[in-house]
Amino acid sequence: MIEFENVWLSLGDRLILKDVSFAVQPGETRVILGGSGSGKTTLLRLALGLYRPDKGGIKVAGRDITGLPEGDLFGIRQQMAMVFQDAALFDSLSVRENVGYRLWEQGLLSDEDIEQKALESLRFVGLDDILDKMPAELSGGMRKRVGIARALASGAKILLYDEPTAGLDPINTCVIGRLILRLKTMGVTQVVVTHDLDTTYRVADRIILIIKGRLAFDGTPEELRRCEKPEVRQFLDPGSMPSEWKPLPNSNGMADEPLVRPIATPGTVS
Amino acid sequence: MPTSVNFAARLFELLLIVQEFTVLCVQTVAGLVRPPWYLREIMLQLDRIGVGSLFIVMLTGLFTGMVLALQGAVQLEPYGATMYVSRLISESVVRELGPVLAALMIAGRVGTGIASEIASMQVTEQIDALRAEGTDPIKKLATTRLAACLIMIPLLTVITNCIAILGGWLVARLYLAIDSYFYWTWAFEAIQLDDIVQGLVKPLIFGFIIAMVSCYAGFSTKGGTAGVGVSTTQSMVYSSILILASDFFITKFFMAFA
Repeated sequence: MIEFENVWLSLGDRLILKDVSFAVQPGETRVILGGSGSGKTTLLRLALGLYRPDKGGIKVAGRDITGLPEGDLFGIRQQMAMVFQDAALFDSLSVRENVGYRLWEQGLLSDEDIEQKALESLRFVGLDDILDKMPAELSGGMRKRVGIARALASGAKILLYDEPTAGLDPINTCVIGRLILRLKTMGVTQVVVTHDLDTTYRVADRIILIIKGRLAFDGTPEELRRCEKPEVRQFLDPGSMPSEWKPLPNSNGMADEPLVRPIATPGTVS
Repeated sequence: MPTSVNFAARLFELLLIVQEFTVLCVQTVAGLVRPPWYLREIMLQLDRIGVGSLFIVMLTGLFTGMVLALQGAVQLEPYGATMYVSRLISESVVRELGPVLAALMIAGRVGTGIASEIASMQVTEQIDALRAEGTDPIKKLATTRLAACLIMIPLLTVITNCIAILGGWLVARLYLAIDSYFYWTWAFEAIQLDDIVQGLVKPLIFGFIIAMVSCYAGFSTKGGTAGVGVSTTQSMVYSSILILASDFFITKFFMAFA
């Protein structure tokens, strides 16, 4: 459904992604894990064609989008929907208008049908009583759920989530996790960017771990738990690192080779 | 870093901005002639830009006309020509002051509004969300605002001109005791066809400048909420400079062909 092949990307003078390859199969829920600034969100933007890779190729639904002009990308984007980190609801539109936005734009359905779809999507996320509220009146958790409802109403085959549980309390985190699971049972292809391990283990079919722009792991949740690669262990269990350890950024602000500083044993640290 | 390298870097940066601005202008204008038309959005902008700015341009026109009448009377008095003050008011308002002052006021009220709105959408990922939803943000945001500016700013300028001449009449009648018939006869007598053409071409160009500079400032916003403030200020400053500079060249152009 989505394929990344040896993708490299720089933004300004910062190297963001280095030779990243992975594929998301239809109906799969793929979680992209990684620390802050590791390039996770950039992967979603690349999949949507909001960024273009410097090197490598990206295919969506079998079509290479790497060199497509912006006008042709609009058609590809109709197959996808993204839930942005802060929901990115349109401030000037009500919840109803936000959720039905893509359908209004497409102009293929009657006003009544669009209303109905918007209502169904909001009911799915448990917010069918806030149709006429404005985004500014909603809490963070509600905004995220409206963002999911907007993605659902669009009828997209692929849903991309950027940090869907970031900044939410445990209850709302659990609600979002359940929504992703429900969509998974419905066969929707989902890509979830997060650094929340609990949610990851709950929803993921497969996981990739991005560290400093490089693909450090690609496998199932079980394989991730068993993985002994030092950089993966560091990410999963940072508490096990000695307190003296600090990442060493290079001039790009990113740690380069080696990705992991050797773990000092007691007595060797001066 | 050597000064020459700094200069070259700055020059390159400037050229890049000019290139981006030109591309935005071309894409925005191209949007005027191809669907979707976003008529609802255009109507909303017509209301915001036109009706929303009506009061401020009327006040601007009123006081400009009143001040012109007072100052004009002082200048004309030694020649015993105070009664011809309406000629001075109508000609200077229609040709220069009306279009320029209205445009500057609209740049302050509307231009900054456009810049801050688009800038806020940029920093809160709403522009990316529009693209992700399959909408062309330039067409949806820039083209609609350009269309509204091109329609409303000439209309607002005509209203400013009328109110300014009316303001001049108030001072002429109540303070200078000039006969109303005499005032209005000379006011209309002074305005020629090329004054009217010039008075309508200028606001059209100023409208283009206000819309495009504001949209560019909004779309090029970087750096979170602090960037929104910077973009808003930039839109006002660059719009004002371009309005004043282009006014000079348009005037030169019309004088050359008069």
